[in-house]
Amino acid sequence: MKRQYLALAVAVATAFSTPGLANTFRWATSTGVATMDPHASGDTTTRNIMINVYEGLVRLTEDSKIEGELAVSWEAVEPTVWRFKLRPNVTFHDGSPFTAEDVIFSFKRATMASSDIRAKLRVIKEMRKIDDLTVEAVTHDPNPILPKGVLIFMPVLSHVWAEKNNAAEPADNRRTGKENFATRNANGTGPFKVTGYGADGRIDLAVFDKWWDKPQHNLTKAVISPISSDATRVAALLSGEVDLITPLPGQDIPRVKSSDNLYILSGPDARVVFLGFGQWRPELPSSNIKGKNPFKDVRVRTAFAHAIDAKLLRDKVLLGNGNPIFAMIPPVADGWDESFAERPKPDVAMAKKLMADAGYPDGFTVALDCPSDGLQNMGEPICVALAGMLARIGVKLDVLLQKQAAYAGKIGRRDTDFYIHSWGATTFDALATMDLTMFSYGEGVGTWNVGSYSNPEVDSLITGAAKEMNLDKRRAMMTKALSIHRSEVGTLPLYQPVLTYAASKKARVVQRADDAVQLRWVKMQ
Amino acid sequence: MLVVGIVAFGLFRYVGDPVMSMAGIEATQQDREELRERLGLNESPLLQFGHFIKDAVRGEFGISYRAARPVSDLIAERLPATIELVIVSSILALVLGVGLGILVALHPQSPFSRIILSGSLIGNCLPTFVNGILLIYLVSVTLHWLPSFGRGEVVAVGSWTTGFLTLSGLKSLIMPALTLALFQITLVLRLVRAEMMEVLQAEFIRCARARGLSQRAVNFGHALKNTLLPVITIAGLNIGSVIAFSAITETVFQWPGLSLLFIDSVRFGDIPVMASYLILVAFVFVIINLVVDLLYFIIDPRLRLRRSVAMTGG
Repeated sequence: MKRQYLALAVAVATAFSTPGLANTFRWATSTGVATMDPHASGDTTTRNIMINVYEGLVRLTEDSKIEGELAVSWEAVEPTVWRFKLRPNVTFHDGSPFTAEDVIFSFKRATMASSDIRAKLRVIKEMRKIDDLTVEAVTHDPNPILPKGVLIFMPVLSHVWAEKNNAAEPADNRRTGKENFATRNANGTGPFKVTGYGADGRIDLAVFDKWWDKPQHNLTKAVISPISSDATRVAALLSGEVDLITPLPGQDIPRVKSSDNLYILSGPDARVVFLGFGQWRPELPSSNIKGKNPFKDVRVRTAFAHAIDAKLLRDKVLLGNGNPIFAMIPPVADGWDESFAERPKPDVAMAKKLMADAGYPDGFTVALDCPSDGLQNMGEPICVALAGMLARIGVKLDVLLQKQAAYAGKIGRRDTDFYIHSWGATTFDALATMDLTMFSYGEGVGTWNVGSYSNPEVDSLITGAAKEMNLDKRRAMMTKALSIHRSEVGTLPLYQPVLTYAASKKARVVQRADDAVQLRWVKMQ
Repeated sequence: MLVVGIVAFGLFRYVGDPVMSMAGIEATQQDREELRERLGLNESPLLQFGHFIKDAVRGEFGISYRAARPVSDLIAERLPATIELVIVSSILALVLGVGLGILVALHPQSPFSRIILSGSLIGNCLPTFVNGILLIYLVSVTLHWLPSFGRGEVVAVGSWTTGFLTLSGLKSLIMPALTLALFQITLVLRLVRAEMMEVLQAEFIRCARARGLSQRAVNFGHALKNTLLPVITIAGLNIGSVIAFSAITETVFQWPGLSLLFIDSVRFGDIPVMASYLILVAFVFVIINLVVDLLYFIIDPRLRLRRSVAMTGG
């Protein structure tokens, strides 16, 4: 009898605490998750969706600042040792308690051979348990931004749950051909738990009542459906079947603006689109210039920078959606300097003179590798526009349009003379970008310095900044290296793209520069 | 089939480098090499092809690079959606196509027939994705009658998932099935009309009328039967285009079938999925051609007759 009253009281309390009954938020993405296992896929979409289910030690606020998630505080006790105090009284979705064991276990699991995110964590040598609510991370080299730059990428799983379900390792299906329990089931500590994952890629989420944080959202359920066709995704929003679509294709912006029930969220993407010059080969295979490589000459690269009018590109091709800048990092990243916003003046006469000084008064031919379905699906018009601009200084651009999959393979092998690419500052810090795209290409370093720009001074500044624990000194070194790279046109940055979503006016959604939609901030009317 | 296997395999070896998209941007050269090794991409092409065929014969199509699950599982999961869509749209095409075709042939001058005929031109000329999008904008966005994407709620019957048993499943099926059927409907309609009008002029029809048979018996018993043979031939051969159009239809309506799986895997350079899909489609083609040939035999008495004549003659 008593129990019945209690149940009734709970039912009444729940009914009153969620006015407006069940709030279901329906969100359509362009791609679904690759797997539910956050360690088994390094795919950005997978991470950005599963972030609502699995948590890490730290998380980002609405304006991309760092704050504690499963950790409450942290400090560097030595340059290579970081100590984290963990949050007490946190439970996983299955009811098991969260302890230091789970962090240690998750680190081991995320760095196993079958983990896809292991590269992101490679600066950490080991993680050790101090007590039930304290862990330490030991790095190979001093790392001043370990929480924000590295540990944010480590989702925490329950070791009890994983071991019970034979999922203690990320399923290495590619070799064994078997999936494991974690591939299609999830058990995190996050604000939402997975209640369904269908063959169509649809994910059903329900609010997790025992979440440690006070919810700012008012949702009871969320449904995430992949809709790959742009037109269909927009139609689903227009017809009211979904409340949010990510992304909104550029050509549909006017359509959404004209609707009374919808609004557009648009903000800068933490990413830069740039042109890369193949500088490592003695001659460019696709060029009519033989015996030398024109891109090794800084005057030629500077001439290109003066020939390309990024503002014109933004206004005419990108329909105003882009922020022309001239650095390899977006303004939101640590290391940015106000001067980086200024671009070389568009000046055809000056560009022609530089080309003549370099010995190419009549220009030359070169092929541009271009992903037709990349750059927010704008690859083709952008590359064609660039060809037009460069034609003014006699450079005949042969635009090689190809699918993203083929393109990525080609530039990954450095098999390109001239390419257009984009780079995201996912950690909101310049160093990862510089390390991968500016450091001289070599074994295990400068992996994505595809064009192979090389300057020993830049290299030494990057190495120095990586170990510098004083954040001001570190920032100054990064800014200096970026300035040198900029003045030598190591690559030719074009613009910072814009992230565009569209949502129903019934739903308040927060857009973050890393393109991760956090359901914990969504409010429905 | 083997040829398709070779082509599929050969084609996709050059479509892109899956390692690049899988290993992630921060992977080192060493990570990539390890992954390449794990995927067996370092073996010689001939050896890889040998593995591929050996596994395919056993019904194993390898492991999807992206989903990291066996391709045969992915296909089994997606197959019901495609089969339900194709069956419903084929039935629609035959019923509507033949029915309207007969009507139009019997009353060639009526305004209704003229409307149907000009309407069928639209179905014939507009590409499938335009039809699909037009339908979505009209029915979902403007009228809010039917859902614009997905398959609705599905019910699992054993390992088969069906959308036939729920209201949302049925509602979701209407527009994709109609879009997929539209081209077929117009094709069958025009074919039935032309054949029927020709047959109606034939002598045996006039004889039948002279015998005093009812309109009904003449039209359906004699004329229609003789009309159906070319219709079956064309409709059968057109299953191929149904498969081709189903890729477009499934993309437009986000219908979670095989073709959508294929289109998505192209985007990610997921070679095992792509190759398996092509082989499966080739297999379906072979089966369909066989069935069409067998159907001839059943429907056309002349074939059976000729064979017995040939046998007695021989």
